[in-house]
Amino acid sequence: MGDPKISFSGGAFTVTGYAPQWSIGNLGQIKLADHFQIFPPTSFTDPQIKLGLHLIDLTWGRRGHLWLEQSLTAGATFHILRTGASGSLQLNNQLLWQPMKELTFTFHFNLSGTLDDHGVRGTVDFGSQFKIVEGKTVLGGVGLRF
Amino acid sequence: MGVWNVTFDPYQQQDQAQYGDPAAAQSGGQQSEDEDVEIDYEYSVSEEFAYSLDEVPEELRQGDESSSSDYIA
Repeated sequence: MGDPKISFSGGAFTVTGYAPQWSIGNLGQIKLADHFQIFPPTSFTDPQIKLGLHLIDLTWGRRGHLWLEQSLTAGATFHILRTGASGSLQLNNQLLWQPMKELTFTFHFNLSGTLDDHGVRGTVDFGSQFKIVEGKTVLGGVGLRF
Repeated sequence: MGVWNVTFDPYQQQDQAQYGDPAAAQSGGQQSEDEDVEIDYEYSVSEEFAYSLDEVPEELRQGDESSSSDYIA
């Protein structure tokens, strides 16, 4: 292994976006930095930030779609805006390509790794929060029950 | 009978619920039974990555020697 040229540990890059009429799957088709602002860790140097943004591009391009799909296996909470009724529900993959009236998300990419003469390797802890708003009938059409 | 309020205002949602969806009524006189639902969920995953030097831009391969302090997040 060569000498480390850039090392970073535990720096979280944050992406927050509002994408009305987008589907969740659409997020996996894009380069995040082309559409949304990515906030780097304030403690990172300029080369660390540039490498981190590059790693997010690479990693999102290869893993983003899968992560978005996997996120739909998670449990969720719902809130019917007019009545205030709320509860929990199980999502499913039919939701992936459904355009949403409102889609708001926050992604955290917590990167640790090292760049040396052989390349760059490390770990990424990806965390995400989603808030979607859509009509009950539309959501019922993709198999969600409230 | 009520009077349609066609300007969207979240505080008028009570009236919309009583009289139906103004847009639907204006387009065909039918009341929409659809209601907006907000869904919240979270997901996290941890994975290792490894990329060859070919996948790293030339400017970054030089390392952290030219670290600058003028970046404004």
